[in-house]
Amino acid sequence: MITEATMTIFHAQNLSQQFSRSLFHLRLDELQLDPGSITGVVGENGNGKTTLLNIVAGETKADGIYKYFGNAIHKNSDWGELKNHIGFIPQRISRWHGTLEQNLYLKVALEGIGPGDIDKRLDELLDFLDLQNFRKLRWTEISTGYRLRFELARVLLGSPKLLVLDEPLANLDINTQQKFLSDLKSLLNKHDEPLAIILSSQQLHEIESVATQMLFLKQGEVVYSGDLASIAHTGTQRIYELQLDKVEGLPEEFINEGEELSSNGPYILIQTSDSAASLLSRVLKAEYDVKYFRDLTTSTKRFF
Amino acid sequence: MKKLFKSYDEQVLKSKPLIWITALHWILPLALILCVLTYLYGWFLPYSIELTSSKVGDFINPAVWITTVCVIILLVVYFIRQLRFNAPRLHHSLPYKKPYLHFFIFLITIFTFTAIPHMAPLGALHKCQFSIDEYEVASELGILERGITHFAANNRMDYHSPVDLDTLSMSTKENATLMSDAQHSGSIYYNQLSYSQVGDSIHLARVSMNYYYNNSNTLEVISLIEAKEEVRLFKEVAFKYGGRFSNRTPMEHIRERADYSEKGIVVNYSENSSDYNAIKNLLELNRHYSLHQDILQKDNSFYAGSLSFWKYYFILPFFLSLLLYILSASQRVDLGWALLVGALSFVIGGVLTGLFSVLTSFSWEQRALEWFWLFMISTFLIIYLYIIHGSSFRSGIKRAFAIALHLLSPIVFWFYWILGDEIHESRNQGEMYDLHQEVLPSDVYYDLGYLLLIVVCLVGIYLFNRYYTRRYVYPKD
Repeated sequence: MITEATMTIFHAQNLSQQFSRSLFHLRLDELQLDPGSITGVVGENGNGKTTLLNIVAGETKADGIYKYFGNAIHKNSDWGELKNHIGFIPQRISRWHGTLEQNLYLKVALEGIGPGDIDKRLDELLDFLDLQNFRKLRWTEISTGYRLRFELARVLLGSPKLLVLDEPLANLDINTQQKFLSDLKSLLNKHDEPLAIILSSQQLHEIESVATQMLFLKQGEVVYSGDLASIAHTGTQRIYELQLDKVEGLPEEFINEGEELSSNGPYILIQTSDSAASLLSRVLKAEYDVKYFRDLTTSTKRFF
Repeated sequence: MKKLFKSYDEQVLKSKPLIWITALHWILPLALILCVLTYLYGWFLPYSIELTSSKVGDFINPAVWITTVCVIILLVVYFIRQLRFNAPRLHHSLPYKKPYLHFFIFLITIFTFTAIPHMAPLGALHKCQFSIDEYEVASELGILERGITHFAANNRMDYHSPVDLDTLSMSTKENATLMSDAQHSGSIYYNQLSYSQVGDSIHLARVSMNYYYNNSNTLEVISLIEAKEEVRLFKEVAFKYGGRFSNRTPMEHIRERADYSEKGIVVNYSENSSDYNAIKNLLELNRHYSLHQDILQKDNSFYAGSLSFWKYYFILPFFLSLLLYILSASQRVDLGWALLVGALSFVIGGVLTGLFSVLTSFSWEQRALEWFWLFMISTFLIIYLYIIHGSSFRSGIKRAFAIALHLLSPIVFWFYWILGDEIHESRNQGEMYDLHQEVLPSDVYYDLGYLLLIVVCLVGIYLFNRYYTRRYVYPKD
């Protein structure tokens, strides 16, 4: 029996959109967003991330079969009602006029919540997102990071079942990024109603720390779709990325048979069957100073 | 006070968010207060029987001008507020959820606002009406209008004694009705009176103020007793309205007039001529008379009391409301392109009209031009519809044309109405043309057109709302 808790939030098959002028073609065989999932969409610029998110958010039409909350989309679907359950935060957030509190009250009131419960609902959310101290301010009086969080608050007041975020971390500092992602994760734990989140970002490491599944797009095609652990199965060896101090590369003699060495800008990439501890131990024994070391085996960065 | 307002504002925001978005809860009370204040200002007009239209204008006009400027500023502020809070980019489906509620709120607000400058003339009118007995004044003005013909030196005036009866033409004999007054030597007087139309007519008691300009030679005959009575009454009433006279009895005055007529002396009309005119201050009397005529007929400075003024004035707030509705429902970029499309349509239409006039031999023939306009507007309409519904155009272009069509739809409808009327009348013109063959009198016909225009606009709101919903809420191509 499909209950609200088990119902798939979004399911698309044979999704396709082609731009006539640029000849860019986005193609997805299947995309499924389940309640409680965070899906990270990554890829280089111009590979279809925003296009995909716009399709999922119902902003752009696409060919294919897709369902929202278990219901298939057809010509006469009520998109006004549908979008009430979708929270979309685009890359550029429109400016709010009036105070932040007014805009939030307006959103809650439009949701049909009675005057008696509005304050309670708002206080709960602002406490959760740690925004209470800023509610009386105006849009121009807060930073970009807080604007994103207020926009998140406004969207969440609508009790969406699907949250679509396009490059939310783009203009945030490291700490704010962490805080924002932590809020998203807490949201899934806290949310009484089923909620799925899909977001795009260039901050791979940060996204991978919270995502339950990743989607890597290249030239409009899906290179990888699945959970992080399964990324390791896409190759036979493990991949590590490291950066050494005062040395730009490793000598050929360092590499064992079956291992591959390449570079990516200032970083050295090693494909090996060794574990991370083993490789690191070898590097340190060779008296190299390691500035940076990362296991890319289960990261989408390996696809770049 | 500020706290109180904030608390009230917050209450409305929480309980009635749609009302809050349209700012009805503070804009309408503000507009009503300003209406009342402006009305009260007009009420303080110091009425006296010797008041003139220019004095009324001096009192009212500053208020009208100041309030007009204030209203324009407030309207701009209101428009900007609506564009900010009602924008589809903020609440994607909100502007389309209750289109008629939005529209009527805009209409009530804008109508109340734009009515503010007209409250001063309305207050002044009501003050004057309160200060006079309208029936009495109507009766007195009737006396003045009849009696002035005995006084104002006017070359249409034609006094005849019975001696001249033989010299009158047969047609005038047929028109004449003879009355004799044995007490006054059987003198018969012919009065050729000229009347002029004085706008909206009212009919109070037995006095009709509805005079029509009459260039014919219709003669009215009155007896000497009646003439003397008219002169006596005129002097009595005119004195009340500030008229001052020489010391002649009515009979002396009449004899002098008859004397001039027999001698065939034509005296030019001169308002304050002491040569012939027995009224020493005719200009001043005319001014007092005109003011009271304006009060009764709700004319000139007192236009705001006239229903026909408000009937046609309604068009302005109606179209401003429609404009605001469209501004709130569409996105700025699309609106900008739509305005460009509309402007270009007018330019191209003007150029084509000019070319038609220059290149064809029908350059000054009105009928051919009307047919050309009908054809041109229909072609534009077809092009617009083709682009809106066609599949080979980008969605941005289709939206621009759709919004432009919504903006221009009242003008297009009115064009068709007027052109249809003109072409229909052109067909009937000629010897057989007879006004009485028309189904509706001209003013009723245009009132019908006006009503239909409003209905078309209201239907347009429904149709275009569906379009905006499809374009802005539904996924875009």
